Amino acid sequence: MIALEDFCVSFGQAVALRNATLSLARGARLGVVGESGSGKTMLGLSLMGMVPDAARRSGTMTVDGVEMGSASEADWQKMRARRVAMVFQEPMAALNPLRRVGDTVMEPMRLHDGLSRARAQARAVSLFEEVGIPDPAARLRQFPHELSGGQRQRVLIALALACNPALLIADEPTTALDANVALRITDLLVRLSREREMALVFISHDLGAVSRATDTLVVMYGGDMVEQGPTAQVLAAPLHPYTKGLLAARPDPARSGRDASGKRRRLPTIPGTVPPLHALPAGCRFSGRCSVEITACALQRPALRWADATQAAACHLLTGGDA
Amino acid sequence: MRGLPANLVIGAVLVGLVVGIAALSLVWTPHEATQMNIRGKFGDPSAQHWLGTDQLGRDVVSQLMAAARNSMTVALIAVLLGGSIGVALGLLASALGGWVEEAVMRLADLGFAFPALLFAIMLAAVFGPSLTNAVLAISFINIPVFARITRASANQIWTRDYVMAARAAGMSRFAITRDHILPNVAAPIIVQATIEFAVAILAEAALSYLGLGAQPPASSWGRMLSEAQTLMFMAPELAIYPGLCIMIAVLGFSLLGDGLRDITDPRLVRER
Amino acid sequence: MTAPVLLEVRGLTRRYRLPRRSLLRPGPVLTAVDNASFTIRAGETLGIVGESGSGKSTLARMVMAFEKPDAGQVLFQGQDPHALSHSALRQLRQGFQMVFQDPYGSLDPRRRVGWSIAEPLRAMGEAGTQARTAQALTQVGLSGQDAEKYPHEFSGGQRQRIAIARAIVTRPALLVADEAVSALDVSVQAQILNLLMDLQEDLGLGILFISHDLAVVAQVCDHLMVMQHGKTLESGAVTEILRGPSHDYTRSLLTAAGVTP
Repeated sequence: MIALEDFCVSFGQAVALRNATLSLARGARLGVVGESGSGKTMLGLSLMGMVPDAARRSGTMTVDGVEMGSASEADWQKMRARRVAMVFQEPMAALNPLRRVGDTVMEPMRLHDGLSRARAQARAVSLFEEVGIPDPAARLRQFPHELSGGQRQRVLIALALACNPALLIADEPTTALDANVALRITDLLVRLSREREMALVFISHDLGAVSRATDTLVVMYGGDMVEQGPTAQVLAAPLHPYTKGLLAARPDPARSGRDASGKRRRLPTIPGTVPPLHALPAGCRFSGRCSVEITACALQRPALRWADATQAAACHLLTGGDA
Repeated sequence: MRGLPANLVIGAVLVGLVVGIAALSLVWTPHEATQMNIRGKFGDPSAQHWLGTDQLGRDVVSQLMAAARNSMTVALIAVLLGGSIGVALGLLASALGGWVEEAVMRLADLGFAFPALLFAIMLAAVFGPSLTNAVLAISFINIPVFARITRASANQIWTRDYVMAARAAGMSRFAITRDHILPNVAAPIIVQATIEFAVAILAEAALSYLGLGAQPPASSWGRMLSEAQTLMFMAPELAIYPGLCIMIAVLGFSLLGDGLRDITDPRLVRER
Repeated sequence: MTAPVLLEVRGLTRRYRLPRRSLLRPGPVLTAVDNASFTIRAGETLGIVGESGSGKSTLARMVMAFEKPDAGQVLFQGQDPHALSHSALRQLRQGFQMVFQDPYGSLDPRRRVGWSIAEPLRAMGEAGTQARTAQALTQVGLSGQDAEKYPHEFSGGQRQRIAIARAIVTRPALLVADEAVSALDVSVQAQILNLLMDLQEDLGLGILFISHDLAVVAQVCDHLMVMQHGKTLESGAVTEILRGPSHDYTRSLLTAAGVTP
């Protein structure tokens, strides 16, 4: 339902997103994983047409068959909320503290779909039920500060669903929440995607949440998509050195504790730090930090190579067919 | 200059103009400002007297310039004096908290409630009216303003992590105030000072108008206005000129302060 | 011979009165920390795990003597910081230091990094700050020349290293890390955790490690305490709690962290 082909976003010399290519059918759930500077947020913004004006874009993007890669703001405004919607990280920041949450949720319905107040209210109540907010009719009249973090996030999700979008982009939806609450929100997003046959893009650095919520996974580093494949497969048997390093760096109670000599076990780390956008290496973005790199890595950008029918990584060391 | 907000640029230009003219008057005015020439009274604008002469034959331009100097001096001293005391009180209240903070804030409330005019009249009654008394009265009304905004800004800085770290390091409250609080509250204080400057100019004009400030022969826009009042139908321009000067000066400082506030807005300036 | 006790906390309690709901009755009392007790010896790491509202941050503030407890006692190397005068407390503070959560807020943006690191030394009027600053920087994996730079020139992980350098420059005995890695990316978090473990071994530090992430705590700590709504639900050796938690809440934290007991 949405497809990106060789989509690039750059700010002068700094390339934020390089040749992003993906396609998503209705009801599919894609995870986008990466750390700071990976380009995952830029990817999410691109899917909403909310890339900053100062950026240069290239490549194609089709939403339900409509070419949107170079669409104007006016065209995007018709798409947003109706076809593509987004849920952000900080629920408190995204809700107007001076308006009741019901009014906030009803606004797009009345604006875009032209619903009367009574019908919008009924819709809002059913949406609140759908996202699991107890006592929905009473909650409509409450202000954001009267709700808990998890409830606010549910309100944001209800807001995003208000006009029945075909694609929901969730950018770090669980980061600001406690672990238990985060789990429930993640499950909610999966249920909504199934029941509404709605595509879901789950952007997060939380690998646990992503493994629960998604079927396919894309790993990003320095603006490149370095690995993609079925979520469970990528997490269990990663191909790309960065993915391997990232997974190994997670604290794991099974591998922690003290060794035979009594010394605490250290975590395996990826040496160095992510270079700033304008100083990324020209070839493979991960060169300079990779433990298995060869001379070609810094100079030549690796193409996506398929290890089997579903999993691919952009690495020179992978043998297998080119994408 | 591109990128700077318009109000900042316009304000800076106006302020520069006024301050420049005031400074210039220290060394040169077209004529002696207090030089009377009864025979040449109510003169029309000419090459000799660019804006004409007033009811006592004094050159209008020279008077305006001398008045600018007095106005700037009064405003500067009043804001510096009142500001220093107010900022010190605000920092003290914020650093010590507890009953000290309460006491300082209640004093500030009192200061706000006390009419500045009344204070000026009291001073005049005891010491006789003069420009010095105007300075003291205006300083007095500045103290609570600066105390309040300094305390509010400082309280915010005290909660920042790097101040907590300084406390954990064992720094004294005085050292923290000097090293961390003061530099970080400087911006809002400077903005407020610029705006208070505008207020001080107006206050000086008002006090002089009422005869509580600049005494003749000292020049003041306010005094010129007061003298021109009785002559409104004969020579209205004698009221318009000082009025315009007051307006330009106050507008300049207000815009400058506004512009400074815009560029120091932490949401725009934050480095990440 | 067992290591000396650095920090002993007994029955620490802190209550807040919430704002009134009606004019007639006073507001309800919230017990932020309820009767917390623990001990940390030199070379040991104690983890405190809890979600928002658990009271762990309030506990940290009382240990650091930023807030006075309503009941109970804090003893650092046998002395109660809350009972000391201002100047005596400042002297005692050299022995226990803190690392904060937000790498972007914990350094004064207007000061060079070296100045911030040397602050604890200046507080006690010590000399030789430049050498000790450079030493602290190298200990955390940065270079002595970085002292001349400003915080905005560094990444989040590097700023956290600088914050750690500031915390160790006085050669403290105890380090309190309050969500010190929570704002960092996974790969950077691993580097900082390794650094903390290295420093503990090299300097013989005791560490009080506060986090909402049970997996992180299990990585660096020998003992842990689970807090919820101010109460201590369980406490004990990490290995035992992971094997068999005695509370459902702890079990739910484990599941959320992806660990099966």
